[in-house]
Amino acid sequence: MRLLLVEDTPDLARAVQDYLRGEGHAVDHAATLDEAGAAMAVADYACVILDLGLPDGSGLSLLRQRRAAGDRTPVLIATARDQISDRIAGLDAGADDYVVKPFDLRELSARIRAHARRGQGIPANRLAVAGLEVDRAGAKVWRAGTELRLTAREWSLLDALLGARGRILSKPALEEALYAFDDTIEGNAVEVYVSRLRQKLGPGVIETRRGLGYVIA
Amino acid sequence: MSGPPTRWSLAGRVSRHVLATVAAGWIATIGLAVWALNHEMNELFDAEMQKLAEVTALLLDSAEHGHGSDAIPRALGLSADNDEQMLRIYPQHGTPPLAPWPARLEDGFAEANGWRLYRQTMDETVIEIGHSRAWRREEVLEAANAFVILLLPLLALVVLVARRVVLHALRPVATFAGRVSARRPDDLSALPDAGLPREMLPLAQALNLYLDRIAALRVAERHFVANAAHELRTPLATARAQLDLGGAGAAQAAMATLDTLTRRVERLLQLARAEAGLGQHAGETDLLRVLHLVVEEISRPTGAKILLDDGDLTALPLRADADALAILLRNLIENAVQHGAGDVRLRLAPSGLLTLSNLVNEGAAFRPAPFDRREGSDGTGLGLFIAETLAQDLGLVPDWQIAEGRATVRLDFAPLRA
Repeated sequence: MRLLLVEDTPDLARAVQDYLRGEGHAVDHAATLDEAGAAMAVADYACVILDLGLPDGSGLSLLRQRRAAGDRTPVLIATARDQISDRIAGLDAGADDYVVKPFDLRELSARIRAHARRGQGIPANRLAVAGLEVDRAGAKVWRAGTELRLTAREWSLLDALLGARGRILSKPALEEALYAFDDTIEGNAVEVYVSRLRQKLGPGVIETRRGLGYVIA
Repeated sequence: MSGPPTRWSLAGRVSRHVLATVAAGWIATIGLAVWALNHEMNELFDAEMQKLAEVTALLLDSAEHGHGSDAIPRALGLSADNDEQMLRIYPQHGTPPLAPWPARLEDGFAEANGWRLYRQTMDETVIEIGHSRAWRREEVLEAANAFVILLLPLLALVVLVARRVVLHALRPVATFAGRVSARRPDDLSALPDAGLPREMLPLAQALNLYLDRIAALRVAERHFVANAAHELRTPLATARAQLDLGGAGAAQAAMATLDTLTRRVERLLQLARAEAGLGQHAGETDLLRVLHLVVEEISRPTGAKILLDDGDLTALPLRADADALAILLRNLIENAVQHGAGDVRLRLAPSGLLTLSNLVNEGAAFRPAPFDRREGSDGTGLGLFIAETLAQDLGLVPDWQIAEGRATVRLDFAPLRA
């Protein structure tokens, strides 16, 4: 995979480059926003590792520019800015992930691989189910590219249904998923959450098998 | 048990001073008025004595020419046994009476034996008129008493009016004090000084200078910590990456030390942020989003099982600084992960009540004091101290409980839209 590393600290950039090259990636390096912008304009990268505090400005401005121009290249922010507000700003600007320095190179590489695959349309950790894209590890669901916001209980039911891999799950089996949150649950809790899930996921995703339970279509 | 110290009131003090000044002025005025009254009344009494002497002389004269040696008619109202006023008539060469005042030889006014006297000699007859000094004093005091009694209701009215006038005059002070006390501790905006009296303007201006200074210091402190974070994290990241490339053995051992160092640096930076008043900055924050991010941040690298029950909420907006909130939650969750046993459960209720609970071993205790570490712990002993400091700044009172092998912390947040 061809990667772009945008990092202004030479020693850190060299170490990350060395590691990623050792993993078999082709890594271009940019130390400024200008260099990064120029590189992204001419090359097609599988993933960009972007530092925020660069000598000629914030990496966020480059990210916003690229997203506004329709560039969907996966961007992983790797920065020393450790505040949650920085993380929120980075994710809201269109970053796919956010890693705070110092980071584990293996973890960085794993994240890069995951995001690069998604960029190439082959997300290994995602399932395509009934018109939905599901990241079970990240507890996230997309429909037509838009992320759906599920509550913890809704996700728990959906995850249980996904885990059944097409098998019908009985109501007591689904109740088990909800017991993680409450020691006691209402008698109609499964029906309530299945109904809410149907509203969010759309019709036809979860089917009811009378007398048996529920199944993902 | 002693209560809080009683504070004196500016309005009360000014009222008391104004009333004391007015009362003193009034007393002085009454004193002067009584003195003047005494003087004028004495003049009137003297004039009256003179007139009476003249009238008596005329009567004596007419009696002598019209009635021969007839006695003088007793029509003057001054009896012989009157101890207040007395008229004495006797022959100039006869034996004068010696009481109640001694005989005198000269005409005119005089004082003797507590009497004010007037003597007039006419055709070898002496006419003496006496006014008891005590009687005169009594008359003056009666007049003065009436004067004072009439003034008392007016004095009560003055007390009421003075109180209202003082309160009205001090209203800008009360308004200004109200504005200052109603501000949140994080509000460092300038105090409006429009409409303030000349005497209070320097106070408002000085306060605004202080607020500007504090705001600048806060910004500088935050920038410093942010810069310090950047300056510390980047070399740590470089060193870690280089060690990561170094392979097994000493490099891996050094990396573990570096990770410990990183955690300590993080904690100290969090402490610096907490003590710089990070929690006092209020903005609208989605508690649920912050919770999800913090849980992900902790669970991803550590693999800790953190079960978040979001109470079927998709967002929970509240007024708080997102970074302070994240540091508070991170410290509580990390404390539960590091020192607890088993899963960490987080339950957020729509009311804003966040409950964090986990199983703990026997003898476990919360240690919110700074640098108070459990024996054998490799932590800094700062996590719960930071959490408590930030909770205080966010207006929260954490409820710490350990019972039946389970540690529970409750934070009651106030959502913006319940």
